[in-house]
Amino acid sequence: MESERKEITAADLAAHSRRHGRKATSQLLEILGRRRPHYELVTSPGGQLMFSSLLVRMDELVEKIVGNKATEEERVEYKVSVDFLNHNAEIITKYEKHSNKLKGVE
Amino acid sequence: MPDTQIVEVTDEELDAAIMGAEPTEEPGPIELTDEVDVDGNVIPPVVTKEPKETIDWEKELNDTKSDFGRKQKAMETQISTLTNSMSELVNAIKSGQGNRQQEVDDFDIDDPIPLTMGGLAEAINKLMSQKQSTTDREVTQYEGGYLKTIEKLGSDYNDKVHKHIVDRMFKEFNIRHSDNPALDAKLNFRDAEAAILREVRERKANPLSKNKGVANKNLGGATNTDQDIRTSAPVKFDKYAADFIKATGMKEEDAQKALEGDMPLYLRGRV
Repeated sequence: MESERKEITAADLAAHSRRHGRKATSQLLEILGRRRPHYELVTSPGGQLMFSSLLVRMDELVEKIVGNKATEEERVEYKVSVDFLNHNAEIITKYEKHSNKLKGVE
Repeated sequence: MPDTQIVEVTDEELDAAIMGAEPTEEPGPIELTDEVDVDGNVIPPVVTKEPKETIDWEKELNDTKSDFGRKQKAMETQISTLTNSMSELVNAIKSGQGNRQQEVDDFDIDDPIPLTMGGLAEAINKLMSQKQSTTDREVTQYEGGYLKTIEKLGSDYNDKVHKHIVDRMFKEFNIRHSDNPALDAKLNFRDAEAAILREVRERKANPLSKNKGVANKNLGGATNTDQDIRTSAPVKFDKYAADFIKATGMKEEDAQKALEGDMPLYLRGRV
């Protein structure tokens, strides 16, 4: 599958440039360059471990909140965790979307 | 050849003949001698049998009729030719009659013939004056008809265009082709009209003229410049893009070359 190819090649850049213009391609490269550290961090083993710990912690908080045993601080902790998770998920989604766009897989 | 018989006549006989008297002696019969052949034998006269005269009146009548028919036909042809010649002559006379009439009108038959140089000069002056007035009248009539026709011909155009055509016509095509002013005006007006239209057509800018020869490299780009926007400087990546390219394992030069391809026509001038 084309979407499973990890890295972007010069052929992808040329094809995208022919279809959308060199300026759009260079802008896309800039966006991907800005997001790449974050994406690599999140998708790295360390990032995966961190997110796994976070998800375990969020499961505990959900049980307390549903059982009406959570304190106010735990509710805030859950809320912050959800926002953090959504923010990082959005970054990963957008990065992959732009990456696929550059690869010509949309 | 038959022998000639000489008869002698006396003077008395001649006188008597003149006076109407009977001759004194009857002239004797002319004796003819028989012809003799080489051996001296007398050749008997050849007696020719005269054919018995039998006249075929019917054949004679038919021959006469045919003869008359031929003569009649010849006469008819001659009359026809003559009639045609006369008709041609009459037509020729009629066609030339106007001119001759005009020539005759120049003179008055009852006028006395000038006998002195002064009289002759006066007559000539009078004749010249008459001719001049006739010419002036004809010119006036011609010009009137000419201008009137020009005015009619301009009904298809507005006043400005019509004036332009008429000016051009008087400038270049004001030619007298015949004595018919309407025809001349029409011909000259159309000539001027055609000349103007031809010029307008040649002056009209051809929108495709710039596409002749080598294709315009700057199509879709800024006008009035020969610079080809497609061969502009290579793309310069910013820090993040350069880092990303480096992270993917590509060289920055390769990425720049990849972006140097032909830009889509629909994007030219936009990005």
